Amino acid sequence: MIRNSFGLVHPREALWLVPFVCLGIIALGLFRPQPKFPAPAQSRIVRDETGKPVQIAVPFRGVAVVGSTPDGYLMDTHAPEFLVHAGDPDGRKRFAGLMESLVYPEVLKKDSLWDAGLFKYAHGPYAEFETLLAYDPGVFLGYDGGFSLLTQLRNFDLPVLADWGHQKTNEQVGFSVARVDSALIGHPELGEARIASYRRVFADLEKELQPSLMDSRPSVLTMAASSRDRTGVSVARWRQDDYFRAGMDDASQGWAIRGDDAERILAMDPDIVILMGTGNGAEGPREFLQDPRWFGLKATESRRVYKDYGVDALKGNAGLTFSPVEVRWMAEIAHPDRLQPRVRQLSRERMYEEFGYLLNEDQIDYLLQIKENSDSIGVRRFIRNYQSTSYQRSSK
Amino acid sequence: MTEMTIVAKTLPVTPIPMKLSDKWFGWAIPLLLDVGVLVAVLASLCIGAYPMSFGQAARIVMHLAWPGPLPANPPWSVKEITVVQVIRLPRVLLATLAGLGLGISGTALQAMMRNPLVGPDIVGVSSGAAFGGVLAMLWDFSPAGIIGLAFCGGMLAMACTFSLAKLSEADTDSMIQILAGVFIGAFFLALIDLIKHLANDAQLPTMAYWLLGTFVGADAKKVAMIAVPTLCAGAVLMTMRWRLNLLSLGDIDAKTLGMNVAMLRWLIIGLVSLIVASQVAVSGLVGWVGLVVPHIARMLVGPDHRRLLPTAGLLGALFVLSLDDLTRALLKAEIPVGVLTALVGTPVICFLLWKSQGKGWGCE
Amino acid sequence: MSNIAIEFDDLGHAYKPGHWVFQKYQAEVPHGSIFALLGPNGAGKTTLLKALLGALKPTAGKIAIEGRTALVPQLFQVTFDYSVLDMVLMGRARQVGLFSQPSAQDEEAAMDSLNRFGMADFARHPFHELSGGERQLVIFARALVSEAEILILDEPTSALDLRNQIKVLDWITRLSHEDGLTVLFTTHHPHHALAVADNALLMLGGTKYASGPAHDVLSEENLHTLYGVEIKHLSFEHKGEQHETLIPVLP
Repeated sequence: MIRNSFGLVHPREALWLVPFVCLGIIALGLFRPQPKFPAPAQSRIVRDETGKPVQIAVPFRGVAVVGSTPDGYLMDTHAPEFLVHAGDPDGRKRFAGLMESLVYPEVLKKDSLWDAGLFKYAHGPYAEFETLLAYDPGVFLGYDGGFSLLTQLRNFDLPVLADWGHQKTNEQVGFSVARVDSALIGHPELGEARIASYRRVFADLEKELQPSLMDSRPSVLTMAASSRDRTGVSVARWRQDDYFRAGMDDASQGWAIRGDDAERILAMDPDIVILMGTGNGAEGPREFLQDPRWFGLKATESRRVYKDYGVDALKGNAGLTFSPVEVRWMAEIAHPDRLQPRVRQLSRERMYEEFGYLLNEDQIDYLLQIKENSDSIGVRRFIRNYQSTSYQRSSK
Repeated sequence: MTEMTIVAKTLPVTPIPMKLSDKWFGWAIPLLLDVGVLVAVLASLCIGAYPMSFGQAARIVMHLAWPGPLPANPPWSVKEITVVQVIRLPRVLLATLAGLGLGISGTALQAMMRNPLVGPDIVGVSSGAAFGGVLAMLWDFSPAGIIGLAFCGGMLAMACTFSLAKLSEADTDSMIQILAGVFIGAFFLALIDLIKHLANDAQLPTMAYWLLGTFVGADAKKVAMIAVPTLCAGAVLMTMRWRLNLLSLGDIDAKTLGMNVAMLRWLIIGLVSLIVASQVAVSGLVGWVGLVVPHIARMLVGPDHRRLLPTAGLLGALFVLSLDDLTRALLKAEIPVGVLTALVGTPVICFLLWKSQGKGWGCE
Repeated sequence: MSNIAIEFDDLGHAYKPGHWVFQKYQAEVPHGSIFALLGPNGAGKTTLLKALLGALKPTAGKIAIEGRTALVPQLFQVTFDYSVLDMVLMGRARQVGLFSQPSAQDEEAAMDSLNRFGMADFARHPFHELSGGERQLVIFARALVSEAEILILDEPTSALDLRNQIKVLDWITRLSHEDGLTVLFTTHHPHHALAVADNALLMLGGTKYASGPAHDVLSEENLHTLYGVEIKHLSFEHKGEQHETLIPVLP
């Protein structure tokens, strides 16, 4: 016989029900439509990487770079004063190793630019949202794709400007970032100028090298390997255009993308090996040449193994400034007889032209990986004070 | 003898003696806990990188909860309501509901198994639910699929535990039961490792971080996923809380008192599995809460489940919420909550063991 | 049939096939009577009790029980330290709905029941602080408050001193005669059975048993068969009343 249904009669019973009901009601409140930020009273239009117009408030309240380091922005705008947020502490460490931090040491030093919490992939999209909101920038700038923070920010009608995301090659990315970033600070001519000088360097190289007239071209493989961790073998496959411009063939052409291992690389048997030297404890030429796995390669026998230009100094982001120099460096390794040694000079010129910063010899050594490549052949032309009266016809 | 009978039948109603602390406990503790949880929720909304005052948080939450449209000229900025509604409130609610569910489940399990040393992690239901969850992640299921599979995994694990114990013909209150739970739990943990091995590079970090137990990445959908099962199943368990007293007596005793023990036991297993599975599905493995919190609650209000169950639930909510606040605010490195509950829970239970000296744990 | 509370027919149980604990038992327990169950250790008393309580499905035979049963077990070990009142309140399981909490009336009934057994002062004490005899009384109170019509006791006198033994027997008699409860108890003491029981069942092993009015069943020959010792039936006069008892003859 049920005396009292659900025990609610006694007020003490009702007391226990209160937290359940309250939590339920508050949870319901979450399902209201998300708040939207109002459009700015006065604004100007900047077009993002897909050409879509974005409203940026006037007066301009600065840039928050989201999801990457600010070197791209700085290279294209030379405007560190507009930076409101640059990244998290990890990003700061990364930035410290880049050439751009030499030019803009104040960006590296300013703590307020870097004090967002650590952003890990596994965290939800709102990990740094709170901090970013507190900064209140005029625009959030960065890469737009998939699970990026920008996509989430856009949900709230916050001012978001994607400077790249849908491009296929590194060159296209560089062009897009240059154009959007320079348009953002109101000087689109800066971006066009950078693109023009990038093209000019490539044009000069083509005139000198004339790759289309070559009958035989050495094959090259860009890879990463570690003698300590045998699983860390990977092959880079995004540089086919650069290889062509440098007068080389891609040794990995025709091979499936997945499944790179030592056996397969021995089968590819490139003439030249370029080491990316990042990730998985990857190592440089010295360890590579002593690793028994690679003794059978042509490149090992002829000691044509090199750590890639700018890997340490630029952390793989040569960008519009140094990509042409990197390609020239590859070309000079592959065809020393056809090219004057100009990489050092060109590096210095490019840095000065783009940033007004004069690199010293040590810094250029770092850029050209002189120390790492000292055991390989054909690198004497890259050391400082190299004297060559005329280029010699190499027997190789 | 006959005179005694007549006298007995005409005695006035015997007054129920009340200890002074009883009167107190009757009202003070529930009131304190209710208010405490609500205040804790609001206070937690003030923790974070963006500045927020208690009053502002309270105002926003009240308007969010109250039915009807939000005011046109609100006393808060768009940023403030974004921070509350989109970022902090989901996470705070997630932590609170997880703690509530685990506290209630732990208490119900301890009553059902007549052993104060059990919790959802020991019975294997957490591991089973976690296995279901990572399996769903491996097969790229939607969030609803994850919770569904997590629930199935939890039920499966519980069924295995109880069947295993039954096979060895052990009484439901023996050490065999607990060992069965440990074995089944370990088995599912091994299966989880297998799944981690099979996962590809994109899935693995998500899985690994999720398994550690975390409330990061909370959103409205996840809150719904945990709120509905926890509040509903929790409410049902709350109405049955007096029955837990009976269950804790023993199978034969409970049966002879007129209870359908088998049906009740399976009902409780189902409800506990649902609550724990929903918690594991949205936040991974958060252990120790279901074991430690009922103990503390028992020390506060005694073993009568009419008081114990809600107290344990609310204490659990406070416990998990405060740990999540800790990891959010002070420890910028975001230590997963599951790690913290283990780090805090273990010494707490050792301390309880020492302090109580066996009292209230079993009167053998 | 309406005046028979418990009836079992052709009852038998084997834990392993072929190994019968007891077989082909038959007995009737009328409403309001007291029934004693005797047998040596291992004869199957607990098994029979479990079968009567529905905790065991007997391998053979039928049991018909008319009315609600309540159990007073031999051991009272509780995992959690409930108060005495909480323990008695648990007897109201039949009266309280599945999703309800006990009402004020339930608590009053529990207190009344405690008071009946003189344990009202212990209401707020933890159950495990009570002595064996006191605990038993609390369980009695619980059985009573559950409004059961049939009371089943498992060796109610075994763990008690002499004074408490007499108390329990007294209660058994009163519950049966005053409250009209049917009482079934197991015991190792034939003289207890003789003193209070109306009917008895002696479990002599296998298919052999003796069932019927206590006076007839508890004969010297039957008891000799049951326990293997000589037991004498004695009548004596005390304060103007006739008393009977059974005494083992020590060798």
